[in-house]
Amino acid sequence: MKIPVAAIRRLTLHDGPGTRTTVFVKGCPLHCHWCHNPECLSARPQLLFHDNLCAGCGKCADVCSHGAHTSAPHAIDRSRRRLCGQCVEACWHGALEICGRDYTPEALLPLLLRDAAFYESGGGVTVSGGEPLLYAEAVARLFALLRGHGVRLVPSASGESAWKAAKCFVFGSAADAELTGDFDLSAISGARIKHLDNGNLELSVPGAFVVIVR
Amino acid sequence: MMNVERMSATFDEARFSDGLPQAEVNATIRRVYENGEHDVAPFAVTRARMLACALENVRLAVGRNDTFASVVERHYLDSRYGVGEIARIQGERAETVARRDFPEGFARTNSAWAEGRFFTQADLSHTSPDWDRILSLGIPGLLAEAEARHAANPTPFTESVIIACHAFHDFALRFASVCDREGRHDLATELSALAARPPETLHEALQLAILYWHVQETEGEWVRSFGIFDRQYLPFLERDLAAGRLTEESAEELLVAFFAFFHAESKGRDAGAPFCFGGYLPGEPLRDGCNRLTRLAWRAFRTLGTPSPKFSIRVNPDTPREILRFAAECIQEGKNAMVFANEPLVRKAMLRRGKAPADLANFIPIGCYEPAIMGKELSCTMQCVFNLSKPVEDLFADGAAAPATWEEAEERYFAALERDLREALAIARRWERAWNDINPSPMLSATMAECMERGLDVSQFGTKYATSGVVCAGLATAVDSLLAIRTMVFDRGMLSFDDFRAVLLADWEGREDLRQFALRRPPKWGCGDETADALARRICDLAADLIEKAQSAKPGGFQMGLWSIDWCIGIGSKMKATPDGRHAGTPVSKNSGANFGADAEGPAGVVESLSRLDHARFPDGAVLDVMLPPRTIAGEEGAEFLVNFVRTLFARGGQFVHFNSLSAGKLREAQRDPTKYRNLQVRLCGWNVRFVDLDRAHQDWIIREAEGSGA
Repeated sequence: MKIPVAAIRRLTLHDGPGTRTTVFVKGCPLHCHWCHNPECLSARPQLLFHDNLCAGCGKCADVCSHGAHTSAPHAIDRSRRRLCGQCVEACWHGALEICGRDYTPEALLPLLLRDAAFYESGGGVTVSGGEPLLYAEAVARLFALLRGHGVRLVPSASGESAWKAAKCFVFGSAADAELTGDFDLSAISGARIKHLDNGNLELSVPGAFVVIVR
Repeated sequence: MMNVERMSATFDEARFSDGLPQAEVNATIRRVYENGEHDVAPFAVTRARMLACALENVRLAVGRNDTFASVVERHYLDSRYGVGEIARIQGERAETVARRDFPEGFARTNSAWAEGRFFTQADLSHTSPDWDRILSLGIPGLLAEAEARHAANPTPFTESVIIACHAFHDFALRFASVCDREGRHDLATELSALAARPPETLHEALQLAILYWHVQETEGEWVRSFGIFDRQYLPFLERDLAAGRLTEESAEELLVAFFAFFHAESKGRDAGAPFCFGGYLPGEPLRDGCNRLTRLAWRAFRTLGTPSPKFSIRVNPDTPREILRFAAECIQEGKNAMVFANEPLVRKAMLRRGKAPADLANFIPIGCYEPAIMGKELSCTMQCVFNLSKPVEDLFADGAAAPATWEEAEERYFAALERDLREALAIARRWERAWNDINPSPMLSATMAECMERGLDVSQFGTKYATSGVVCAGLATAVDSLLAIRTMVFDRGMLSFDDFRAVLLADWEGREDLRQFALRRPPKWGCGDETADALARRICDLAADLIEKAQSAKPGGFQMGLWSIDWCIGIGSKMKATPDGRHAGTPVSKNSGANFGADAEGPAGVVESLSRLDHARFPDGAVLDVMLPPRTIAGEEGAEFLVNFVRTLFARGGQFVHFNSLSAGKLREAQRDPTKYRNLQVRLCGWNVRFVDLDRAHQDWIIREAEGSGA
């Protein structure tokens, strides 16, 4: 039972009430053009390149046994990259980073409890993404663990996986979790959606989702 | 801003109608001093005569629209900038006494400071008078007490206090006559009354505070606190409200005018006039003292929006949330001349140092964020400034053998730290003993009950408590540097110790790759990293042990502070490159926070690291600077976040915290076009300044901080 995590952000203010820690999971069934966390679209680990930090030293190319990097100017042949981490280790300037690491709910727990003191004023933990309910069972387990420590929870979900979430959250171990939807209701209507998200959004049970929220 | 402009005009356009020109005042003071040198009278008496001379001759002015009699041509005597005669004499005497009594220690403190290791001094200014006594006894009460003591047991001390109190009394009357001459009979009547009795109204109490402030600062000790304002001035306000002399609105206006004086007088160029608010009232059970005056004063603060005065608030679990919320909203507006104090923690630190529970209700932050007991403590909070990161540099000194293991490097660091600290404290002790020869302070002493009971000047440690602060700077630079050595030399074998020495000597020239590694990879202080935090704890514990156990000339001994103010720039300017990736000559870490850009986990990580230190071991204060991008603290959520942050930091054991919310882009614009940003203020250290008044080095430093926050 694992959750692929892109990042954990501490002291977030805009992912639910109060002061929170937000876990951004990787993987989303939607591919919305307006996605503000595109590194969370794919569920798999990815090599990120921070152009502004690259010194052009070529060390990544020197160490890469797969020939994925070329220098001057730096470029990555993504068909060759293997996420072995050699280039990341060699890049002391911090220009390369592997985004995405699997955590069990148990491994995430102590990381999220570090800031428990900040949650006392009405904050808590948000699991966002990506689509956290792709991993509904693991997220429900994580929520159960966190609730055991009195942490208030918000899954920031697209709604795409609402029905699966219903099974986990309403009938499962985290049934009393607070569940909010991260919807753009103006977008979720008619043909516009088909255009905006390449047609893969099937919001079949929006009504059911509202029921879950309440 | 109306009041500031009006007050500024009061100073800028003052028509002085009384007193002597600058050169003559200075020459007269010098004559009094030199005559005193040939006199049989002890120096305390001469000092009191110098004060009297200054107050008799300095030029005074009052304007037609002034709310208070407040304009003293003070810069002629100004001890703050070292241009006045009293300041010059202080400096001369300090050097003379040091060369006479401890020439080697004096030479050593100079050479140690030249290399950014430490400095020690006779800290003459970091203490607070007893405002309760000033307000309750008034000028005649202070004078009467001195005369009674003198009659019972005449000593040079009692004589000096009588001279000082007479000078204070005559100063009030002289100001009254100036007011009369200028047609301000209302102020003249009030000043005459203040010479004859304690204040009765809020206006009188505030006028007395201004007068006293002038007198003590002229004597040569900065007034480092105006006491617990809301508690001390509330009875005056309530009397005025009950008698119909004031309404809440007119009281707020009065406060605006009063606070505006401090900004107008300094033009925002000094360290700010400190006012304390809230906190527990005396007695049991503990009750928080925030009241209607707290609210009025904070509203006045917000209306003014100037760098001075600066406010502090003693925060405890009973502090009304709306007061914290109001403070947070001021910060959102860029009016951030304030610091939050964790009152329960400070009380714990003070109890640990043997202070009586009954005295804790009078805890105030001195100057910036150094806790002391108002009216009962001589707290020289900057007796010594010590650089925790210098012993790292010593590991790489010429001729020093390379350590064979990390453990050896670590132990050598701790041995050097201990050696330097012991040396600094030994010299600091000599300075403690020297104060009485340099700067007896009869006016300040007159306000202190125990000084009067014991017949001892503050400089003879007549107060109930007497302590010396040892400011420990550069914690993050020390921790990050040591762990860079460990990671790069011993754990990963990236280069030999001797090669590292060469790299640092060359200031990383040609090895930017290594510098980037040092900046990013080794464990860092301020990220909640257990290895770094454990090392920081060990450094702090050792320093606190040595400081607490060191022999001091004062009964309260030395006490550790974990802060740097802007000494981190001066210290850094004297240091070579350090293994944490820092370039030679650049600032070391500031206060108790992380290095620039090293707080990868943001403020939460810094709080986590700080929670692993025992802040009760820093009775000389410890402060966290939090720099947040304006967008983070915007709106309702932002204000709530600030309040929650303060509450959480304190719940986790932090001691003081203050905030900046600045955009690097805006600061750069202000550098380019200062006229457009005249009122942009920044929290520099424990005080605020207008950004455009800073020199380029300080401006760049602030910009770097703002950038580091992602602003």
